[in-house]
Order: sequence, then structure tokens, then C-alpha cells
Amino acid sequence: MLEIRSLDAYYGQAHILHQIGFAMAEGERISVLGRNGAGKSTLLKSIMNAGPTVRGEVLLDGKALGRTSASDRVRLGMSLVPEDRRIFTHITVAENIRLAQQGTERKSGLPAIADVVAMFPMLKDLVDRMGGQLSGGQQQMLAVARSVAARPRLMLLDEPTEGLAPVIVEDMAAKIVEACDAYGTALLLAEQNVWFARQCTSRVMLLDSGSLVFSGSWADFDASGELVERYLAV
Amino acid sequence: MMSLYLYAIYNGLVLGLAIFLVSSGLTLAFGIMKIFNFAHGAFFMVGAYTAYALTGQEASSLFVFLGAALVAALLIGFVGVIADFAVFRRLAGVPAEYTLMAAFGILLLSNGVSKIAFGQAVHTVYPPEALSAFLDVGIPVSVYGLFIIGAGIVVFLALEVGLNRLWFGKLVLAVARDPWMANVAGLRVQRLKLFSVVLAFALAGLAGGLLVANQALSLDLGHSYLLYAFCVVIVGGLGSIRGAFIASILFGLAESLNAVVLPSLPGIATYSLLIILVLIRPQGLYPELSQ
Repeated sequence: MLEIRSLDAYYGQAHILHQIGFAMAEGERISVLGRNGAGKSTLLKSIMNAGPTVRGEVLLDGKALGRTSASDRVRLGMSLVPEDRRIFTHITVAENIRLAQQGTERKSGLPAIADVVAMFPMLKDLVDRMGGQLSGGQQQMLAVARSVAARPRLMLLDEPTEGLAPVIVEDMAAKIVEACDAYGTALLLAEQNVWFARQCTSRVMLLDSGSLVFSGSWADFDASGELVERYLAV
Repeated sequence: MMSLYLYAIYNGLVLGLAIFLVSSGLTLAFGIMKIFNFAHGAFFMVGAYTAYALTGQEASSLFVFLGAALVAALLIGFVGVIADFAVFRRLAGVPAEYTLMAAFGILLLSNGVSKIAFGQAVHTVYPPEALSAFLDVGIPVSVYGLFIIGAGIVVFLALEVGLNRLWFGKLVLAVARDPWMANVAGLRVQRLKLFSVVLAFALAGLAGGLLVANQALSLDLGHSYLLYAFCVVIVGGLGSIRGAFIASILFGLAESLNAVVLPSLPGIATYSLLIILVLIRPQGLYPELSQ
């Protein structure tokens, strides 16, 4: 479904990603691990065309996306949940979800807002609360729910566990898996929390200083004992 | 003495709502597009000339007067489309100084074109007969003044309801608050911004059409209002319609009462108010959009 070929990404003169290449199948779930500054967020934003200057190719269903804007990529079935949540604070939880669905411009096939909220019980009693009145954990859950509501074919999820309490992290892992299974959504998850990444995905890639240094199954990852020490230890 | 102050307060309300009519478009342009549109006063002036061209010195009826103001709004709104395609969207993503310089360029261009199109003569325009009467309620109250107050309140309520209650308005505010996320969420950001530009420009044209009567219609018409409008945008909270509404009334009252209390120091109340409000509330009266 998604293929990345020789992708380089830049912020101004800074060369962040170097010759990244991988492919993911429909419904596949892959983690991207790496330290702070390794280039995980830049990779997701590059795939979405949401910031960095990109060279190389991003292909969806074999078609190069080229300069296709981020909003048009949403309509192709892609969805990015950014690291800093970016909930719209002036509208309610339900309206945040509605806004994400409107962005897809799909007339049918989208879940009802009530069904989305039912999938994320933490939001159940908050549907009429303004986005700005939510706690960090609630905002993060809404950010994921907003993406799920658009029923994307590919969800790009950037460090959803950052700053969350362990109990919420466990709950979120379960909800993400449930949502991806329910809609056949592929997931590219940028994370530093290895436990969470393992719960949500079946494959793992490691980024270090903007280069891909490992790609394989979790079994391969575990078999290469030095990877965590070498690329993830602080 | 009491009636003098009452009269000053009435005049202050009329001036305040007139300032709001002019500043609402400027506030919207800044709040949503982050454009400090120096040319706003020029488009207000062109709106006034457009209405004058349609109605002559005195509109034959209230309907014609309102129709001319609406045509002025549509015309200036269309100019907004051109300004957006030719200038503003091309400057998206560059430092704000460039947009500021471009807006200043549009101001110079508008003034030059207006000079050629309208000449330098000063015209007098009267309100239509339906608005030309005076009511005696202890103080002489002009119906046209009441009309300006009513028009200001209607525009304020329309913007408040439109932006905060209607779904489309909420989408426009989403783009204003976080254009990056709006884009990533799939919203057609450029279209929503275009709508905002058109509305901001149209409000300048509408203000010109509504305020053209009882003014010396000349190429300088926009200057005095623009100064107030900038003060209002700053004090109200950059981009806040609610803040602009309150600030407009405060400045109108300050200016009017200044003329009664300190007639030998014109303008001192306005500038003192500006300084005091900026010092005690640098974030503005209602800073919601600038946060």
C-alpha cells in the first residue's frame, strides 16, 4: 500500500532524513523507534507532506504522491496524529471529531460520532466539553479518536504516549489496536516507549540520526540484543 | 449641563459603532489571515465613493441607500479576491514583514487609482430622507446616528454568531487558530482563507457605503478612521471581534467626552486610553484569537 523510496528530508539547510526506504502492506502495523532527534516525527510529516522539504518518493498504491498537499493526502486515506496533539480548543470534543470527518469529504462509510466515542470510553462523558478544557490524556485520546473517525487507510501516529500516565498508556494501546482491527487501518507509529510499540505493532524499524538502521519483526529485534543498548538507551 | 454629557455619550456611541464598522474587517483580516492590512482605510474610502457613485448626493430611499452599501461591499469583496490571488496567498509562509510591506504597497496603489478615478474634489453626501430626521428626547438625536448604532450592532452580532455558532464559522476559526493542523485534518485551508479575505474586504466596503452620509467625502476619508481602527485592533486583542466591539465603543466615548471635558486638548483622551489599556492589558481585552 505505502512505499517509501530514497527519501531525504530537510528543514531549511538541515538534512534530517537520509535515504529512507521501506514498504508497508494494507492493514500492516509498524513501529518506528529511535531517540529524540532521530527523525521519527520528520519521517511521519514527510510522508504526509506536512512541513519538511522532501526528496525521494512516497507512493500510495503504486502512485507517486509528489507534491500532493497534506489535505489531499487525507482524502487519499492518510491521517497524521501529531506529537503535540493540536486539538482545536474552541470547539467541543464531538466537533473536533466532526471536523476530522469533514476533512475526508467522504459522503458515506464513516463511523457515527457516537460509535467513535464508544470506542474511546474516556471521551464518553466529554462530548460537549470544549477541546481546551480537556486534560493532556483526554486530549491525546481525542487526537487518536479524531484520526480514527476519519477512517483512514493509513494512520501516522507520533508519540501518543508522551507525558501520559501508565494506566492511560495501556488503555490507549488497546484502543489503537481495536480501532485498527475494526477498520483495517495500517499504522505507522513513531514511539520511544518500546512496550507500547510492541503492543500496537507487528514490525519495527529503528532510526538513528536520520538513517534507517534496522527493520524487521519484533522477534528479530529481540534477537539483536544490542539494538536497544546501541540506539535507544539514553 | 447634564444634557451636554448625554449628548456627548450619544455621539460617542455613534462614533464608536462607526469605528467598529470600519475596524471589524481589519480585525478579521488580522485574526484569521494574520494580515495587518494597511490598505483597509483605502478600501473603506473606495466603498464610500462606490456608494456615492450609485446614489448621488442623496439616496432616493433607504432601500437604495442600503443597496448601494451592499454593492460597495460586493465590489470591495471582489477586490479582496484579486488581492488574495495576486498578493496574500503568494506571501504565505514568509515573514510577516513582507505581508506588511505588500499591504502598504496596496494602500499606495489604491490611493493612486482612487485619485485618478474619483478626482480630488470633496463631496457632501446626505442620508436618505428616512434617516435624515432628528428626534427630540431631551437631546437632539439623529435617526442616521441611531441607524449607525443599529448597523454596528447587527454586524457585531452577525460576526459573533457566524464565527462562534455556525459550523462554517468554527471551521474558519480552526484555520485561524492552527492552519497547519487544519490542513493536516483535510480542511481546504486556502478556500477558507479566501472566504475570510473576501469578508474582511467586503466589511470595509460595507462600512464605506453605510458611513458615507454626513461626511466630507474625499480621498482622505479613510485616514481618520484607520487610525482608530488600528487602535481598536490592538486594544481589543489582536483578531478579537468581541474585543474590537468593546474597544470601539470605549474609543468613541473617550473621543466624544474629550470634546466636552477637554476641548482644548483634542485627542488626548483617545491616546491616553490607548496607552493605559496597552499597559494594563497588553494581551488585549479579549485575546482569544491571538493566543
